[in-house]
Amino acid sequence: MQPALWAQGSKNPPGSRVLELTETQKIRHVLSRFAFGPTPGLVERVRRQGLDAWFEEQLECKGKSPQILRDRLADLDTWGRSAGDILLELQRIREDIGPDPKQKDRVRLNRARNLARNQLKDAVLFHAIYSGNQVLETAVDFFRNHFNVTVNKGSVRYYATEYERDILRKGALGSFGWLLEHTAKSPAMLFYLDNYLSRRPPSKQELKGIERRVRRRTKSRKRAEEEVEIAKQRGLNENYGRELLELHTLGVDNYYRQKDVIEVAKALTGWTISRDRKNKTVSFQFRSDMHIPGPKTFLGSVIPEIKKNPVREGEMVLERLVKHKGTAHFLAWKLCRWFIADDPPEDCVQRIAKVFHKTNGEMKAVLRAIYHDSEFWNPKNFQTKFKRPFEFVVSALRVTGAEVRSTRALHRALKVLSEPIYECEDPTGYYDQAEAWNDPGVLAVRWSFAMQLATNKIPGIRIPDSFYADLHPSLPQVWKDQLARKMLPAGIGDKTDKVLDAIIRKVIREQKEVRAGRRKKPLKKVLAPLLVGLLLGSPEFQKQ
Amino acid sequence: MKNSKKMNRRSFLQRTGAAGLALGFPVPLRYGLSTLERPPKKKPILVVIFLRGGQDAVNTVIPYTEPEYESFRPTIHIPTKPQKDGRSVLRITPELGLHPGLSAFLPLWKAKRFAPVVAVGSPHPTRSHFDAQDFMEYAAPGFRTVRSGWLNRYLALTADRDGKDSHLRALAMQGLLPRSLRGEYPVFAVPRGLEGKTGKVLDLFGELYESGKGKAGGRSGQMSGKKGMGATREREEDPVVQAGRATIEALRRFQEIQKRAPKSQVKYPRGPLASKLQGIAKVIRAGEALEIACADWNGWDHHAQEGSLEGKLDRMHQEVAGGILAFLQDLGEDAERTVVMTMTEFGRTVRENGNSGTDHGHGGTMFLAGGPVKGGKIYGKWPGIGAKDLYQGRDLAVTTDFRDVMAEVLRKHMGLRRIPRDFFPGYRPGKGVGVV
Repeated sequence: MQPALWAQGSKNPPGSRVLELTETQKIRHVLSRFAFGPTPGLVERVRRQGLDAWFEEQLECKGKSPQILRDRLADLDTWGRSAGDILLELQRIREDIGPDPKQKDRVRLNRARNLARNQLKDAVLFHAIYSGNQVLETAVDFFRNHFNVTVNKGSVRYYATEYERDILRKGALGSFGWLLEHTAKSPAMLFYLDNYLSRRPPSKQELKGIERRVRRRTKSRKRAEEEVEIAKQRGLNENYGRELLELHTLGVDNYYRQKDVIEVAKALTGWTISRDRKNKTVSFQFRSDMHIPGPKTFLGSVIPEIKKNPVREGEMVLERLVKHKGTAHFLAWKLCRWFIADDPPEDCVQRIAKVFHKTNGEMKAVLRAIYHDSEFWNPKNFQTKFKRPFEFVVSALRVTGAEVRSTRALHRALKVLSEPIYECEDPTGYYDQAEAWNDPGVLAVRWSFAMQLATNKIPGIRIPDSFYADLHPSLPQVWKDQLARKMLPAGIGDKTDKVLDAIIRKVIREQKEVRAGRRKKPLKKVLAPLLVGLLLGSPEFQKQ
Repeated sequence: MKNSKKMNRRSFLQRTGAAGLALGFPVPLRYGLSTLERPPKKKPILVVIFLRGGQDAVNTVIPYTEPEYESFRPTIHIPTKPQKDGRSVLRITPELGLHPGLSAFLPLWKAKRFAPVVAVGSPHPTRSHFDAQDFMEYAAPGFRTVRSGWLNRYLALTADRDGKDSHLRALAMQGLLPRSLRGEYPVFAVPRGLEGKTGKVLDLFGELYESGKGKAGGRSGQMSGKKGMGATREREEDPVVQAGRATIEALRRFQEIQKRAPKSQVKYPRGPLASKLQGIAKVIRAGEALEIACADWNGWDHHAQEGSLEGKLDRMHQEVAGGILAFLQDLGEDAERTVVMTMTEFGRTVRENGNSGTDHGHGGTMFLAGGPVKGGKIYGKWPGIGAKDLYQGRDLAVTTDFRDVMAEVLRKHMGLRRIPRDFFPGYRPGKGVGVV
């Protein structure tokens, strides 16, 4: 860190032990944590507006997004569609192909099956890169991992578009209770964690019904018996109930036991998915014939049986969980870890938990509390959190003002870096701490990506010439500092500074030698991208 | 469950960070004195391939004589009689056959260097990918507190007490380590496509991350420093710089290995697994003292359009069998001390579903190939696929615990005389399967 940066505008008298962030650092800090880094000119815009005013405007989602975001989203024709619509389109293609598909039909079908999934991944990327409402984007990113689903499981790929658009994006700055209820009732989550299958074991009568139906259909007694055997296996599925307590609300083994998991799962039986082809919808459906009746004891108190409206039983479970102090603490801890530091101090977590508890998980109030918390502004948390691969890729594109026309290389990079979008198999979501990502080996992928991006070698992605427009016309020695000021919030470290100096000298020397020969590329075209690549791959840029 | 995982990761990273990866590291022996018998000059090699998603056991080793095979799988069964292109079930015993995509295994089968273990799996009933994979890679079904991989436990158990282990005792040919290799013993992950192509990038970033005197390169083949060196350098505390330096050192070494490895004429099939195996073979052929290597292959979760003679499963089987055959050929005489083992978290439903695919099941298949394998024979008891034989009325039953195979490979092949009691929690190795 440059001493000069520390001193600039610092309110602290010389010799003061507690250093405070300067105004510029504060803006950069907020843009690192409540945004995926700055875009060209953003620091200045926020400074003019005032940081607090910018943050409040962001909480209200009143930021302006550039035209490029609207253009890119307009290209994604499934992004605006319902799950039912997406499935219907697929069915049309299946019918069109008929029962005897040729190789080219299979290719077509595969493309159709992957279309919504791929466009969803693109929509996530484009929003993160270009959205003018970055606080919303970081909050959505948090909840996308908190309420993780993966497009690699069954039909989730068709349901996830709605999930992202109508639940996560709509609710990330709303209330936690709304999010919990709507994720619980979303086809994506119902399918991902199997709750749509969870039901009371079939009665003898139902088993007989199954036998009759299958015998009539297949004319085989054996087949009917087999179907009955299978039906007998159906019953309670505790997958969602467990993750609801462990991952979505209380935290692992906090306040609850195995029997609570079972009681929660029972209360949620009958929460399943219905598909209405006529109205093109796939939606939540409560089926009382799948529901396990009777009162449930949960966390030491009783959820009464509500015969008239048994779906209320599950809703009451969710409501209790939202109000539980364990949920407030667990969410506060996760949010502090996400926005402040890998290992947030307990007193800070408790301050945030209090706000969460008091407001029933009003996300604007909670995020505002984090923003105003003294721990958030602690200089030791400035540019010290390791970027997840997603944060690294998105912030690199933002800081260089890159124009993204094709996302193919980005998804590939995220895959190699082990964080492909909507593909975390584990219901935990992707981890956000350095220890999960800083494996020896994988940094080299970031370096390659940095170099390719900087030298415009990635097809469909370009750093515009305007990014380099303000570089000094005749003094390449200062380019490094000009670029570092744009790209590294905490400034350039000594080591990086020295290495870049040496490289500048070397390139200038080489340029002079070329001059004697025939062709030469302008220095700016050679040196500036090289410096950008090195800065993107530097240890400084890996942190936020 | 998740917290303990993190704790383990943390201690792992601290350790690698503190000692510098791929240097000599002192690894504390968790299980007391080393129980490894005197190592032979060239150590045995174990390559573990994890087929993630659940390989369809019934279309892998096929019960072609059972009438249910065709009736349960009207669209995805493999015909017993040769079709136009001459392909059909490869009958290797009077009851069981191989999927035709696995034909590359036939020469190994005839040479008695290949054997499948059938109806192998976990005693735990889970049909969840993440649980089943966790349980298998930690070799601790149902124990959610165990968070070190079975191979990592083996490495820690047999580590040199003076910290003189080879720099590359174990590696994974992928960006992040599989769970079986996670734990306290430091293991290096090689991201795809980085084995040889990043020379220039490494030189550039070498200067940014290396603690050396600004000059990239250094003496190739030698690690730039022994334990403890560089401890006083600036930025030493920064784990990013540490990881970067470890990355550079290990990748340099890797590139050097790639150059050192004698040219190979062996042709591998094209595909993600085969290229990983090729990378591992290069390390071994370069004379590196590699003992354990892992490679993952995702995408075996064939819920729909699994295919029959042609299709997804066929293509993937061709790559598995062709890749393993090429790998062993590539190793030459080193194949005599190498066991390649495939595993998968579970098999799939015996009946096909409505999408010409299969759903999560229970009993699965393991392949073992290589010099020490007592091949030409099918291991494990075949439970049958008649409606009454099935586990929960739908899946191939498990007759062999996957830990029986693991324990046997560690004991008979890797030379681990005594397996400590807590090595496989809640499990005592039995008399073994007999496959190695």
